[in-house]
Amino acid sequence: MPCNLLIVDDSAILRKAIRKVAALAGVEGDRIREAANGREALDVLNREWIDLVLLDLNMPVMDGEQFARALREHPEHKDVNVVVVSTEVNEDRLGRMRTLGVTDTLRKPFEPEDLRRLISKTIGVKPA
Amino acid sequence: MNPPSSAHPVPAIAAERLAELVGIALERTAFIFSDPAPLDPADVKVATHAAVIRYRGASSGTIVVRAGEGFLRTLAAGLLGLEPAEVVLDDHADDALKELANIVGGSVIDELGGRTRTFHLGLPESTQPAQVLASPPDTVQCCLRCEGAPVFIAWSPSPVAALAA
Repeated sequence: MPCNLLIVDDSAILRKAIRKVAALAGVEGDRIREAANGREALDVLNREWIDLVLLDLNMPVMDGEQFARALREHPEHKDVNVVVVSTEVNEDRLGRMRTLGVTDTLRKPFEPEDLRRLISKTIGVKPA
Repeated sequence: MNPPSSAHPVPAIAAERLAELVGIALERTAFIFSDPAPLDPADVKVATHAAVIRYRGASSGTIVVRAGEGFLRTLAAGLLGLEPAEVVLDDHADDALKELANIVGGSVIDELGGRTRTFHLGLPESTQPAQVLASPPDTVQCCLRCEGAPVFIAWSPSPVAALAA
């Protein structure tokens, strides 16, 4: 099943690392997009169909929570799955993210296998 | 900023536990296995790169991570799934170290009770190792070696004076 994936993280090296894991999870390379902050992520979503967003929370320009709030204001994006991949541990903040539509969370440091399983579970792609 | 009160003292993180948190971060994120090593101030001078991250909220503090090119090459290779010789250090060294500082920062906050206490973790910043000012007396420091290359971590559970970028 094709999946369009958007990786949102201000760390370029971590975006590359996640891209590799996504490929192992069966996501085709040309279906992966990257954004360094929430603002860039919204620009991608306004241009392309995205099935799954992997979202960091602490980012400059527009952080993950601001992005999730902005996403809710656009009905055309309501079917986008959003998974938080972050160092965040605070239960209140993660709870707020869930009320904003986040479907799952993965805490850094994560094992690549955990991310691979989460991607596969969320989008139903069989691992390569 | 919420200063700690006597009713809510700042939990302590011993150097051994700090090293354990960093080791877990390296292993999970980059498949790097590390060993705690004695902290020799002379060794710290080999660090060519540094990253700093600050947090505030229930308590405030700073984490500084310092390393040389040997460790950075190993770290970047682990993150990217490359052989160390394939890593273009100029492209990845600062970013890799900042991400390590970010992850260690999150782990420190978790250790300080971040699941139920409110903290705000800032964005990691690159800095020059020589420009990191002397640490406050309550700084906890540790060193780990990964394939012989050291990485140095300092946690100051109090705001550090402004660091030059």
